[in-house]
Amino acid sequence: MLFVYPAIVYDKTEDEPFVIVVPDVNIVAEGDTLEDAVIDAKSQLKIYLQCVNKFDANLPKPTNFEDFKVKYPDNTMMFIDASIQNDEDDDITIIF
Amino acid sequence: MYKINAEKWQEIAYYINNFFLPVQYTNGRGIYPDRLTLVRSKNLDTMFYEDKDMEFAIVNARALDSTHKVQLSREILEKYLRNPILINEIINVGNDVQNDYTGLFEKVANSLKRAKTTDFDKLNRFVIAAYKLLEPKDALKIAGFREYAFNICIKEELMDEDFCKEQIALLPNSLVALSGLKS
Repeated sequence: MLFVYPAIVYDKTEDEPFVIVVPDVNIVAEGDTLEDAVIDAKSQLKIYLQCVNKFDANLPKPTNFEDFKVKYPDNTMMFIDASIQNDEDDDITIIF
Repeated sequence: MYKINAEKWQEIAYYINNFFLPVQYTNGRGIYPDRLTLVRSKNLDTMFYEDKDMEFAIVNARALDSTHKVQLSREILEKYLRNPILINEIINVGNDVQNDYTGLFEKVANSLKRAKTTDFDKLNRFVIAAYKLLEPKDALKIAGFREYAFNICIKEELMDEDFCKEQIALLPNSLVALSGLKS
């Protein structure tokens, strides 16, 4: 199943890389290129979804895109997506 | 050798000080770094398992060289870690008599915002100072949670044992010690 969340993009500056923030799921990603930042964000979203799955937790509802635009009017926005399958076995250590 | 870089320890401590608990370590693949996932719910009593309203935080295990932290952390700090009402709710879980710490944590949140920093050592000092002002039984509850969380970090070799023990000692885990703080 595919999950999609709205995200804010901070453009690369002299001092900072591209940064993508997905507020609904507490994710901050970065990369020297926008592509790297997107890959990082998708990777983190996948980990988030795996945790939700493992702990049988409620998944935060994605903010409606119109509401998102109102909340972050000055930012560039994009969508970040990721999918998980129940039988996935990533290199994960369950601590607790 | 610890799983988490020393530069990240105060950041992990900050999450723990805000009631997140380490639950998963994901080894990096290719360009993906190793990552620690922490979880928080409103329910300290059940230690998360009977509560579906959880929040997860994902932290890179390695420090990054770039200086982006101030900007990029702003959204997350505002939304998840500087929420006086939520912190008040978490502390009051299981209390027969609800103590209103909202005002106290609003002051903390304002201090954190004014500091305009992601120097987590500094942020941690604000938070710990506030916890020392709580009613003894609430401060004990938090001390117990922190001890549990930092002991997980020791057991899983996430961070240095001495660092974790120093963190645990910041909030006395006994009523006798707490009564000394309050006077």
